[in-house]
Amino acid sequence: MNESLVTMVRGIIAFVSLLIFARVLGKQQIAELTFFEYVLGITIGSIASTMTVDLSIKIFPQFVGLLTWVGAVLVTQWITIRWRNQSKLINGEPTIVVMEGKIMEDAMRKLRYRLSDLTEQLRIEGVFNLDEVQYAVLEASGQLSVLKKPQNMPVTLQDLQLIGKNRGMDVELIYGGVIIEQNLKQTGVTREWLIERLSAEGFRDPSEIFIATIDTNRKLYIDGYQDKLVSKVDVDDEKEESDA
Amino acid sequence: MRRLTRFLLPLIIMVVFVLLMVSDEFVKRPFHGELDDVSMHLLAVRQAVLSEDWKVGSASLENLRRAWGIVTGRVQFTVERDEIRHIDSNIARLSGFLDGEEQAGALAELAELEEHWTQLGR
Repeated sequence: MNESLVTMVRGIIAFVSLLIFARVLGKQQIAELTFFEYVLGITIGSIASTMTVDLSIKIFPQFVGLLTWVGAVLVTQWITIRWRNQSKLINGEPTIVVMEGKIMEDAMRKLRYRLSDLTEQLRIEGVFNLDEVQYAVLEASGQLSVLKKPQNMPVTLQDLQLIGKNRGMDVELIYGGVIIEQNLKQTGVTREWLIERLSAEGFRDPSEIFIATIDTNRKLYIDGYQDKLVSKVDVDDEKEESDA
Repeated sequence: MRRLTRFLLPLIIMVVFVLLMVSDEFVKRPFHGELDDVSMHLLAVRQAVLSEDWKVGSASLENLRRAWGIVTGRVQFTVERDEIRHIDSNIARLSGFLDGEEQAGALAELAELEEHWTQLGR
């Protein structure tokens, strides 16, 4: 028995299966996962790794185990979408930890959520004084959503009664030195116009461009492979240490 | 085409994987006639032991060892590692009993070997 070869074949099966299952399970970001979903993810990953390296168990029962957990996650997802109450039961619900500027100690105690956790998460949200907070909600994912008091909110264009320009979304015109014809058509830009603009920026050929995008106001962003920097910033601290 | 790659391709891959994973009973069968026919060589060893023909028994055991080596290469991906090790040990012990011309021990070992072979991949 060639254990290395068997491990490799099992690894390929587990990897591709996990890739397919991950696509089936959806696009949620790690930060959006609830604690339960996070644990489910770890368990599924753990089964896949066992499937690869534990040769003392047949591969098929392990695959069935993996399939069962993925199926369970799909059912859970379906239940949470279909029924709101069951969703609260499975995923938990947001809890208000600061209301009208007052800390809700009882709610925090029930969640086993410490004051240091609150202040830490507030700092991450850019709030360094508890006095600035009107509402703070601990989401089911464990993230803190903060609503500052009106006097601590940044001024918006609406406050100043100004109308901002809608920039829309950038569309890629060149990527990796290749012009994307489909996006040229979509944005109504001609190849000649683009080449002209590139030469105005000092580029002779699209192959010199890493990325070029255009916004709804026809404003171009161009980044070439050769970056002409006036002053270079080096954040590598190792070099500094060795120099010292 | 996009639909094909998004749904059909993963489905085909999963079906192929499942077929591979449950293929142990199929790959146990001989693919090269007598060369990898483990069941046939097991029977030959049993007959030789029963008739106490130790020379033929040893020759049949060599054939069995070779056939098992070929089958191992195919079943190793789907069966338990210990199932393979048990059969390897059975063959090694059986070889000892044949060398020592000990019929009772050889039959006991053969019975266990046959059981392990039957259970392989189940």
